[in-house]
Amino acid sequence: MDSTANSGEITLWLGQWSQGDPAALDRLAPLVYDQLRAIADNLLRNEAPDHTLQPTALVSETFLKLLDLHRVSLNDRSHFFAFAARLMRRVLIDHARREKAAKRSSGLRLPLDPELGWTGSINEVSLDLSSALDELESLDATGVRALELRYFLGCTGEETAALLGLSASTVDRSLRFSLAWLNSRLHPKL
Amino acid sequence: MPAVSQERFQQLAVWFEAALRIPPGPVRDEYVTQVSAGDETVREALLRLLESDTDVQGRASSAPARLPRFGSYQARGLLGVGGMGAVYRATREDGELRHEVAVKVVAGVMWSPVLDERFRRERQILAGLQHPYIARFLDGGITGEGAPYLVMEYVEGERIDAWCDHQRLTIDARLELFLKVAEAVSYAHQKLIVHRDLKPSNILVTCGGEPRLLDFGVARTLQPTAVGGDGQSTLTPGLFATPLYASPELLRGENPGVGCDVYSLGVLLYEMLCGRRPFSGANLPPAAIVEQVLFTDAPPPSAAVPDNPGIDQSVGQGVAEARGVDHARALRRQLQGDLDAITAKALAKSPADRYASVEQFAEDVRRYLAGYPVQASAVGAWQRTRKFVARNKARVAAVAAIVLALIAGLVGTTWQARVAQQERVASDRRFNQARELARYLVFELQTSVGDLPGSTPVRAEMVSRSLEYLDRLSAERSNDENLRVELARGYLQLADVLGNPFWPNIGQPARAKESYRKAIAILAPITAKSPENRDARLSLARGKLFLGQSIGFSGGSAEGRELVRVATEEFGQLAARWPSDFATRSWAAVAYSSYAKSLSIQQGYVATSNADQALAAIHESTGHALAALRLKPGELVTVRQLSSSYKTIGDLTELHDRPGATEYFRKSLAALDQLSPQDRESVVALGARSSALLGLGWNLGNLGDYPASLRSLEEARRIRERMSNQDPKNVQALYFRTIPSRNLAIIHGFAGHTAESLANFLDTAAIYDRLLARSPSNPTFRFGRAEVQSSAANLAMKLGRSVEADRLANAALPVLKQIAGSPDGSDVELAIAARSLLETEVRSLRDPKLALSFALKSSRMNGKEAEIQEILAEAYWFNRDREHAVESIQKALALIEQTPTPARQNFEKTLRRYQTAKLP
Repeated sequence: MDSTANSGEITLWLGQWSQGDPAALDRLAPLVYDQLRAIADNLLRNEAPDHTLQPTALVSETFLKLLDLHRVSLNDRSHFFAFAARLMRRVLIDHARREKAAKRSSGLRLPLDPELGWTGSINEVSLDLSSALDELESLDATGVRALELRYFLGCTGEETAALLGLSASTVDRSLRFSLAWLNSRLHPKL
Repeated sequence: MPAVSQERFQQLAVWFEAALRIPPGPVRDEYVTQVSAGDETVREALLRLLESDTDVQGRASSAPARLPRFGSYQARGLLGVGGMGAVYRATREDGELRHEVAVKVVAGVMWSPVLDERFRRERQILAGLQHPYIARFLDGGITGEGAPYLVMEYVEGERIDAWCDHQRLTIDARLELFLKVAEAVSYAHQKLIVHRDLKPSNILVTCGGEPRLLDFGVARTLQPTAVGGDGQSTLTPGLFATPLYASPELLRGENPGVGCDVYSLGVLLYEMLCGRRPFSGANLPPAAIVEQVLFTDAPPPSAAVPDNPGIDQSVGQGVAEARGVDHARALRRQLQGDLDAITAKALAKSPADRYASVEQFAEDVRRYLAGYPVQASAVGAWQRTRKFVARNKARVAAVAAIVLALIAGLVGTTWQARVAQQERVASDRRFNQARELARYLVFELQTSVGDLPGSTPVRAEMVSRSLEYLDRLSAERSNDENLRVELARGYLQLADVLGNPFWPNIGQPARAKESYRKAIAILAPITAKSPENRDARLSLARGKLFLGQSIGFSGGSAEGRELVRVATEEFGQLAARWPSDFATRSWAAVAYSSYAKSLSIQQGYVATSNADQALAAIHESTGHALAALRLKPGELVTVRQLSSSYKTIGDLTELHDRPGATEYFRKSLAALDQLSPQDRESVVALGARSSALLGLGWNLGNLGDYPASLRSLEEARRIRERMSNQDPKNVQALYFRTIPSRNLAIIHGFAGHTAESLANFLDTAAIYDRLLARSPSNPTFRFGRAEVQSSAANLAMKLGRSVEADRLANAALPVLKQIAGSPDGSDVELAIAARSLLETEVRSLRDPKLALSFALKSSRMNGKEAEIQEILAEAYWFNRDREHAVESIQKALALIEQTPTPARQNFEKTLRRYQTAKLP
């Protein structure tokens, strides 16, 4: 995002992605990946979650930088957040994958939100989680979008609702069902 | 769980949700068995989902967290995280009674000892707030890390909206509960405390059914007035604050008063009544909500009860049942009338139209409950809202509102959940963010919004509002020179939007001048102190240039021209001091060109009097433009300036040296070749290209090179036709099409192509027809059409189409006579009317006497135009005054270029005719 040329590209791919072109995500990702990656890393590294910056705030800041370079319109904001959330999901799951590969059982700290219960064992289930999310997405794309914003980006329920243009209660209901569904998917013998 | 289809998944979600409302146990299981209707896979899937849910919820509540301490309170859990900070559940740890409290802590506030005193005062006020329906304030302080916190009574309860639904409260019971809430708010108002953030999540209902209002005065107390410092800080929604409950004035960032709480209570009542918020259309992004709150009227609550066939109906049914009513329709009927009226009055866009106090609002609700007529009248209130809407332009304003809210969020409080660990760093960062955002709004966003039709007033509003922020920031750091320069540049931008005659503006020249003067006043001392501050000096010169141009356009042109001259001189000095700075060079090019125009253009035509001075200035302009383009090759605006300056040289040179002028018209055209292919297609470049082609075509035509002339004019015609078609609503673009069309007709006439000439005149008349369809009384359009019709009539006669000729001439001449004969008739109009009256082939319409009086008046107004002298000569001739005819054509010959161009040869032929021919 240091070059304005990139920002122009970001707007372009953001637009295409929000129009439903999944390939645009791959074109978009490298352009802001480093920033979001840093946010995620910081989150994963830090010992005291209540003293770290919320990823939401950092993504806001990233977005402001885009604004500042005035290549992104305010209307792109919710797309950008949705996109960032999707990317965070990727980053975090990739991270979990690597951790697993390195056979380190240091315990991945991924409580993006204290209310998030099912992430405790994400190390073992990260691959399943990824595919479960993909499966869930084919059934309820909006639900996954909400999950990403709420749990991978750490948005509050209200923020998530506002970004998706839904009511908070709709989002709450959708999240609760998605979580129950994912949990039952990840722990089949529960 | 086996793979399921999307439909099955959605069905499961619905059943799942319904089952969750039943406590776990045999009843719930029974429900599951029922809905799965014998399908074992469904039953199993549902049961597993519910089990999984219990598991997830259980783990969520036991998630460990490292929790902070606040004085003698130890946090036990996080209740929520919001835009402003976090709320913790905490207990007192000093060995006494275990006492549960809620602690609200603000993250990332710019805190300073100065604010300490105010914070203490505010806490005292809060401590005085003692009401059974208001959560008690207990304590407050500042954490070791500098974050202020407030300790409040911990309230166990349910959100008011959820509670009403779960208890299936009837409308009357809801109103009773609402009255208790209103009582609490009213009590606080008596203590001069406004809540400003009333929403269902701030109003809990205890198990005893009593409401408890949270966060009274918190917004104000926890928000130090980082900027302004007058204690009048406003709570403006930050990035994430929900605009759903905020009143229009709060969203606009105005100082909120009691009316703000009246409005929020109105939203609350609305929602309690019909289950929807006034502005919650399904898929609205926040920007759209802001737009609606500001400018749209919500449907009355009765109409908001969903009752369309289909899913909507079942939702409506649910809403009705939660209110103890059988059908959505019955609920609608119950809300219609008084309750619609009461909410409408509470939700009026303007605080003046709302209930004057919460008490009055409550009184009306009580009257309704008692069966008395209410004060609010349904029709009146919703109508007022509509009127308000009609007065406002909404669209772009919403964008502005959001960005302003962003800035305000940074200036006033914080939108980041940032712990104030690195307080100073954070303060600087936020300061810079606010500044950059204001700058973005002033300099960038308004330029992009500028492309939207009808957006100019909004831009003016945006700029002036963000200037307020810059002003405040600048006051805070008055010795920050760069910030002062930015502020001045903001004033320049504002002035441009208000009334720069060369830019889209909202037509307020007086305010524009005031704003230019303000910018100059800020910049003058800075440039005196720091002569090396290039930005400041450039801005100062720009301020003078545009102030001069503004004055030049509203009378008193001597002062205006002088300012333009001084500004141009300053730009010259700047360019000498910083010869390789692109902006300096580019501005110098603009300034010299403006100066040249101020010298040469008087009343719209090229004047000959100052031509030499003007030529010198315009050559300077091209010099600077060329230098700028060496620094930034192909830069669009500068290329356009260069092209335009060459064309001006051509125009000025043509007056005395038509062949010499050709070179400059060609240069004007060639200059555009250095643009990138993409820029070449821009509106700016196409406009410049068509102008250059017009100049060149006219010049070549008058030199007798008809094929080349016609080629240029044809291309100009095509470009302008395309530009106009692309922007069909743009009247000016349509008008610009008449010029190449008319010139084509004239040059075809010179070349002896009578039929083509006629066709082009008729084309031109048709364009005027379209213009006149839009503005029927516009004198410029009427005169323009009459002129081409008159010429067309003569050609039609020549081609033997006498009926057509008659019709055209009879349409044209009365209009020409009327407009030229009016007191406002210009020299050119008088001359054109005179010529038509002399030369019309429809002989019955000829009027040499009137023509002579027109021609005389025209030549008195402008004695330097060869063509006017020629028309005067012709007028004398037809009035049988050989002596004056000869004298006038000789004068024309002295004024026209001395090289033997066809025009000059024509004049010479005319002279010989006057000298030798028989009088007509």
